[in-house]
Amino acid sequence: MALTARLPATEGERTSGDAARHGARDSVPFALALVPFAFAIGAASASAGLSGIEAGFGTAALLAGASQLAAIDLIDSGGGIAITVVMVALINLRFVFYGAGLARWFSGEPLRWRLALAIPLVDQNFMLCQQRFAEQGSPTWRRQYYLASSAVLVVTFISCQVVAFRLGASLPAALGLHLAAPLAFVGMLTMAAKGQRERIAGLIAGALVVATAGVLGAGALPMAAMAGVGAGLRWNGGQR
Amino acid sequence: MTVLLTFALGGLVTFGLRSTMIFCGGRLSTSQRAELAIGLISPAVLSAIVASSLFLNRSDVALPASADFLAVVLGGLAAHRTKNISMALLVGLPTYWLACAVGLG
Repeated sequence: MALTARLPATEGERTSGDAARHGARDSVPFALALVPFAFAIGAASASAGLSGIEAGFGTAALLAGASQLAAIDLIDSGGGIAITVVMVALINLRFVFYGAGLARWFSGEPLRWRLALAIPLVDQNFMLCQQRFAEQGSPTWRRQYYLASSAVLVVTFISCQVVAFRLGASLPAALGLHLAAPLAFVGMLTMAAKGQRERIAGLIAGALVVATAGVLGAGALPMAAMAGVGAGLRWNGGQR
Repeated sequence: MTVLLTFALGGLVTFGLRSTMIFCGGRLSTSQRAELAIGLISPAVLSAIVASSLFLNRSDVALPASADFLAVVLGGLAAHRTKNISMALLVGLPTYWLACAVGLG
């Protein structure tokens, strides 16, 4: 996605206000793309029968849409704490890589600041900052830019969830909000399954979870996912 | 209480993943195979979740309602063709409403 604002040309331009303005403006297209996804999560929370406190706490604790949606789905289907936490960890494993970027960008900041900055680290602000910070802004400029872009994303994400949750509780089942989670996931799946290996991993995991759920119960989900990853790793493109 | 505990533990694990590299000083050295495996986690996990939402009722295999199935398939196709995740919802839900209206629900 193209950035909406030009890069700051001189060090003099890199004031805090300038950084915050750039950060907020650049994150708007990403925030708009978040809206339907956040609505799906809010609707799924309402559909799963979570209370407002549970839904809100889930959003604040995770700040990661895909894993939150998966957790809601597993809670709704009685997956159990251990299985749900394992799935959340698997889905969010990519944050280790994002954290490496964050550690480099803010290496001069005190530890407590770096840890605080890690809280809102998500796909969107990582992608934004990876492009922006390649130009080596000053530490203050980077921090202000990161905080402003994160604020726009987090506020959009949470407010859309709140609206969907409040609407979801009062809307009829005929609207099909129970499909919000599987539809959001299938959309993400089409993006994630971009190569043969990824498609093999998905196919095996999907088939195995259905085949083994009767025996393994909720444990079928992480087992099938790991088996899918194993199958994808072994796949050599059909060559001997 | 169980729900709050689940989210709390999930949140702790997620924060741990986000901050791991801060404690490691940003040094990330993984093998090519490990990076390949991490790239395969998303499709495997997502596919397992979609399959279980569609074909499982708790732990029992159950065929999905036609309207649900049609909505997910067409939503997925729309997202795939447009390369836009939101299209899965924007096409899938109207498909569900239409399918229900013609008696496939």
